Amino acid sequence: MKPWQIIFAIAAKDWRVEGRARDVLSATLFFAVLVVTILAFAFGPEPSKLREAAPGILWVAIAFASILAASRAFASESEDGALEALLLYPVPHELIYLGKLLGNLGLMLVLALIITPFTLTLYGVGVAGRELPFILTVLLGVMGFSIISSFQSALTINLRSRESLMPVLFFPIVVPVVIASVKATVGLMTLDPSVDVWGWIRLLAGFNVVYLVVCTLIFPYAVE
Amino acid sequence: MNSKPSQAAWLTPVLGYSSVIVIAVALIFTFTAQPDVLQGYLTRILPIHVGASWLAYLSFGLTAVFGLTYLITRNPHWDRLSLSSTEIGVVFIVLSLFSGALWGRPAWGAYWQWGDARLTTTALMLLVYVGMLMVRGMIEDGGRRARVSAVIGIVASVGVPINYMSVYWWNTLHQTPSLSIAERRSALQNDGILIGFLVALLGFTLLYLYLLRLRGQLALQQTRLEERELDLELKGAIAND
Repeated sequence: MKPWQIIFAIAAKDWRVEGRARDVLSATLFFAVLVVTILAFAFGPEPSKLREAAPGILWVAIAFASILAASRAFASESEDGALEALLLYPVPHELIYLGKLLGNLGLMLVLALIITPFTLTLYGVGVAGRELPFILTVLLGVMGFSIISSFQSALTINLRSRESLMPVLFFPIVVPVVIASVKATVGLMTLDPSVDVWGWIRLLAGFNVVYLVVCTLIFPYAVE
Repeated sequence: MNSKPSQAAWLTPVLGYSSVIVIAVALIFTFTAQPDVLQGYLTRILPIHVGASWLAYLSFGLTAVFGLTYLITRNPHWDRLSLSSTEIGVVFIVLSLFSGALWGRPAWGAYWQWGDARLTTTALMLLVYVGMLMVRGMIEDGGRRARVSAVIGIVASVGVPINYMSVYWWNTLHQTPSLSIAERRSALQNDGILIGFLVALLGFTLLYLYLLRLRGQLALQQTRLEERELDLELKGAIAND
């Protein structure tokens, strides 16, 4: 098998499991909707304030959902020695990481596809005419979260206090993704010329490339 | 036991005393120098602030190097050094943030500026490494603890160059380095401050080596103590049978 076939086979396995159980998507989607709704109450009923807060709320919801999705995806691997079997496949472990990453990314993109229009509609904001850079921002932002969360849930899979460990490790590292995605989204929504949208998108792309390389290379040590 | 016995016991105190002397010399130069035209007496904090920041960079960079060496050699010696380096880095990044805040109040008008890239990335680095120490505390099995923290240390070290370059990339409040060899540029106006600055970097490097040895030896003692306690318990259990 070629490397991309291996990656795709592992991702397809995760999608098949998800298609049958709908375990990850239902839980994370509900959670993300909850975050978006609760924060609307927290910021009060004033429409102008809500519009201002919308980009931040959207990305907080996606970040929280991402961490939940990744720990769930690896929780299913920890049952019945599934991970050991996965690691026994005669393929480089780097490809297993990329496969799990692709699987997680696919689910997160489905989630983003639902939660983003939901948030935009609910908060009365839009990106009309700038859809393409906005889609690129969402794609890169979600990917940044996935790279880190997939890696870290593999790292912490067999630890007792996994649930509390994940956020401790995850959030400080992905803060640059949150900042860059929020800034780019603000720039696209408000057309504020002082926001360098493409600069922030470049930062997202740079973050993704650097962490993708580092995490892929170090992954074999993380799952020994 | 595959840990190195301290082959040079005299080296540790020598490093300790010399770091104190060198930092004292740096402070004498700094405090007897002419006040800066722009910043006045504020430059007096520079050797401490830059020294502490340099030491934090050095510690976190070497945390990753020690971690990688551990993953390759599997010698617990390197894990102990990696742990020591992380702890030293956390202490000195706090000192760096604290001295920077003291300087920022008169220079920028505020102790802390959320908009500044250098400040926020530094705060994030602190959080990442405190998180790493928390993770260490949560894993009991020594081999797994060493492996997981080595991996985290390597991934987290990506933040060090980002932090260093943040003043160039984002161009927010924090100034670019006071002294740059690559750009052949020095913002340090007189020799007293310049010498104090360079001597302080040397002093903090010595301080790092001293603390690293000290903390590494302490970690070794702790490991030995744990092994001894385990031995005694085992012997007690056998004797009771």
